[in-house]
Amino acid sequence: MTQRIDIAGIRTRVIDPQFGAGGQGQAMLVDLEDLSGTQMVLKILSVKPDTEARLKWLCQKNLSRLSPAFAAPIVCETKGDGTILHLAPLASGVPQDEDPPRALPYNLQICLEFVCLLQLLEENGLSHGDIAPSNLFIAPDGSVGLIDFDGFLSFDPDVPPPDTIGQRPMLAPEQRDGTCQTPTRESGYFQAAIMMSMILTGRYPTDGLPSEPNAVDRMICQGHWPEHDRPVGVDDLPIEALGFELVTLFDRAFSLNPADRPGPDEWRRALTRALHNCWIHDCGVAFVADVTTVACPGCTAAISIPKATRQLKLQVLPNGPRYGVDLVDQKLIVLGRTTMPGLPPTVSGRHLEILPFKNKLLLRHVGSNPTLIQRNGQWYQLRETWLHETSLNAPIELQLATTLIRLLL
Amino acid sequence: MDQPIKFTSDQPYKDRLASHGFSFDDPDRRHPTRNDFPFRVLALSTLSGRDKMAHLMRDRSGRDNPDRSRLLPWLVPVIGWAGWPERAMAFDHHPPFMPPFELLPTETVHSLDRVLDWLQQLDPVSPGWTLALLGSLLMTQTVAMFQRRALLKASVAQVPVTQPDFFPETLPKTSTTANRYSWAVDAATRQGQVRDENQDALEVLRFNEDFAVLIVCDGAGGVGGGREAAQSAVAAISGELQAIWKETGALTPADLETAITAARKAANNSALEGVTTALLVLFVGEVIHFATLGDGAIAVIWPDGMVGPVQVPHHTLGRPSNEIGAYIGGNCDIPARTGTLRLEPGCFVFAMTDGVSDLFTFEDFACARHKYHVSDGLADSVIAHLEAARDPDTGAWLHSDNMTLAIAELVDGGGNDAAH
Repeated sequence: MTQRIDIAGIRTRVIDPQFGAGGQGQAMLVDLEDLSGTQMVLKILSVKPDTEARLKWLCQKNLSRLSPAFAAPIVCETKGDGTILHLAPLASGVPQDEDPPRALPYNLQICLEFVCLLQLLEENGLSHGDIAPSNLFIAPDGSVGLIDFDGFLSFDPDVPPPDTIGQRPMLAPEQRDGTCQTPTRESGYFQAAIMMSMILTGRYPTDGLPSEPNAVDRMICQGHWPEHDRPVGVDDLPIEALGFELVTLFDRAFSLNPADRPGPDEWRRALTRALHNCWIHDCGVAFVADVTTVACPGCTAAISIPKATRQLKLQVLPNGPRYGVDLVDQKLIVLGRTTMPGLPPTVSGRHLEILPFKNKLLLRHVGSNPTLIQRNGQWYQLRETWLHETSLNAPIELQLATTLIRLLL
Repeated sequence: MDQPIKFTSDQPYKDRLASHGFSFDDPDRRHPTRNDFPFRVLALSTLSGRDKMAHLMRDRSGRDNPDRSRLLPWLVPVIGWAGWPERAMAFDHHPPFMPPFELLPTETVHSLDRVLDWLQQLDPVSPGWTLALLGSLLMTQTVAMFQRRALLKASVAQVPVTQPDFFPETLPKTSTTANRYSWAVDAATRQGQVRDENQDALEVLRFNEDFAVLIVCDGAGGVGGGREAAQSAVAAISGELQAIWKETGALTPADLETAITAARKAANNSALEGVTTALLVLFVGEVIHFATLGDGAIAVIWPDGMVGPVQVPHHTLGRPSNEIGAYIGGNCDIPARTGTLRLEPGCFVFAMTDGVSDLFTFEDFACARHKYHVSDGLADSVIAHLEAARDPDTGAWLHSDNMTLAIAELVDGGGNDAAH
C-alpha cells in the first residue's frame, strides 16, 4: 500500500522510503499527488529547537527560487511525534565521485559552475557547510547541483550554528587539529578547494600518498596544495596544465591561515579566465595557457599560442603584478580590487572603467578616492577622458587612489 | 612549432551560468535569477488560512507542550518579582536589580515605626498569610487566563477587527469617498497703452465650486472687426455651454468643440469680417479639458514649481508669429487642439492672450507661488504690472497688444482624509 505523507498541506506519495539515510535523518523519494510526475525528496529529522529554527530559516530563504541547482528545502513541518519533515527538490545527476571522468575543459566548466553556486549562496547569507563529493551532483550534461543543506552556516548571528562541521576528508586544518571546532566561512573555502581539486584531477589530493589518517592530515595541513608533492604518473594530469593562476589559488586555498583562502568570487574570475585561455594540443592534452606558454604540459612539444590582436597591458608599480586584457570594442574593462587582487583598500572595488571603442579608450573614474593621470609630466585628476590607442604606445601612468599603475598597449 | 586549438565553451553552458546569475563572457556582469519550481510546489498546499493560523498559534503555545503552557502563567509574576535569572547573574557589570532589603533604624525614622511594627508582627509562614498570597495570585491568574482565552478565540476565529475612529472630527459630515475639489478663479482684461480698443474678450462660467469654464478670445488686430468677432465668439460659446449644462447637468470635452462649432456658425450667420482666437478651459474636479484655436497660452504651474506649457498654438514653422492657422470666423473649419490634464491641489492654471504671454514670466511666478492665492483682483494686478512695464533704455511700453489673463487655482484637495 502506498504511503502518503502530508507536509504543510502538500500531499505526497512515497515512492522509495529508503532513498537515502544520513547521520542526521532519513530521506524518502516522494511524488507530488497534485503535480503528478514531480519527484521530490522528503527528509525526516528528529526535532530539536536549533534544528527546527535553522530549517525554518532555510525554508524562508527558499534557495531553490534562486536556481534549480539548489536542492534546498522549500517547506517544512514539525510533527507531533518529535520529528520534523522537509521537502526539497530532487537533484538530477549523480554524486561527483560517481561521475565518469571528463576532460579538463569540462572539469573547469564544472568548477566554474560550482563556485558560481557558492557565490550565490554567499550573497544570500550562508555557506553550504558540508561540501563533499556526495553532496555535489553532476548531470550528464555537466550541470551542477548542490544537495543536503542540513549543515549550512548562516552569516546571520541570530541563526543557530550547525552541530556538524562537515565530513572528515573535507575538514580544514584548523578543524583537524582541533583549534576550531565550528564551521566557518573560511573552512567552507577549504572544502570548496578540496572539491575543485578532486574535480580537476579526478582524485583526492592525497591519493597515492601515505593513506594513514595522521599522514593524510599532515599532507593536507602543509599549507600548500598537496598535488605539488605527488610524483606525476603517466596518466596523471600535470598541475602545470591548470596554469599559473589556478595553481597559485590552490596553494592559497590550502593555506593554514584561513584569511588567505580565496573566496568564490576570486575563484570564479580565475576559472573564467582559465576557460577563456584553455587550449587543446594535438597530443590530446588540454591546458590553460597564456602568451608565456611555450611548451605543451602533456608532451612538452613546442607550441605557440596566438596573441590576441589588441591587448592592454597593466602593471602595478613599482614591482606589482602585470595584467593583460584583450581589447574588444564596447567590452568594459574594470580596474579595481574586484579585478586586481592585492590592491589596498583605498582603491574601490570598481575604481576605473576603460571602454574600448573604435581605436579609442574611454577612461572613466567610478571609484571613491580620486584617480589621477599623468600627462606631460603633470598629474591631473581624471574623471572621464578619451585616449587614442596610439597614445598608449608610450606608457601612461595612472594613480588609482594611492596605487600607481602603468598602461601600455 | 604546433599551434593548439582553442577550446570554446558552448552556448548552453553560457546560458546555464546565466541562469545562476553570472556571465561567462563578462565576469562583472550579472543576470537576474529565477526558478519558479518552488512556488509551484508551495501553491499546492491545501492548508487554509485558518489552518495556517492554527499552526502558528500551536507553534507559539510552546510546541505542543501542555506542561510548559500551564506553567508559564504561574511563573510570570514570580519572574517579574525576582527578575529574569540571566539578568540576575549580571552583577559583575551593574548593581543587582533588587537592592538588598534593609530595615531603617526605627529611632531615626519615627514615622515608619507603626508600619515596621506591623511588618514585624507578620508571620510569613502563617497559614493565613500564605492563603491570602495564594488567593490573590489565583485570582489574578484566573483573570489573565480568561483574557488570554478570549484573545486566542478572537484571533483564531479571524474575527474582523474594525479600526476605531480615533479622530472623528477629521472626517466630513457626509462621508463620501469621492474627492471634492474647489477652484478659485480670477480673470481680467485690459486694453493696454498701445491699442485703440480692446479686442480681447473674456468669460468665466462658474457652474459649481469644482466646475468652471474659462473662455478667452483674442480678436485678430490685423483685420477689422476683431473686437466684434471676439465678443461674438465668447457670447456664442458661453451661451452654448450654459445651454448644455442646463440640459444635461454636466459638461464634457466634446461640448467644448460643440461650443466652438456654434461660435463659428454664429460668426458665419452674422457675416462678421474679423476673426478671433479662442482658449477654452473646462475644470471638472481635479481634471482640466481644453480646446484651443490660434495663439495665446494655457500653462500650468505645478505645486512643486515646475511650469508646464499645455497648449500648442496654431502657428506655422518659418512664418511670422502673428499669423495664426486656426481661428473662429472667416469660414475656418480647422479643428481645435484639445487635451486633458489631471492636476494636483496647489496647481495654478493660466489662460492668457499673447499680449500677456509675451511678457509674463512663469518662472518668477513659480518661485513666489506660495505667496499668491487666487482671489479677486489678482489677475488685474498682474496685468497692470505688465502694462506698466517699460523698456529701460527707450522708455517705450513693453506690451504691444491688449492683455487678458485668467488664473485658476486648485485650492482644496478633497473632502476626506485620504485626499489629504
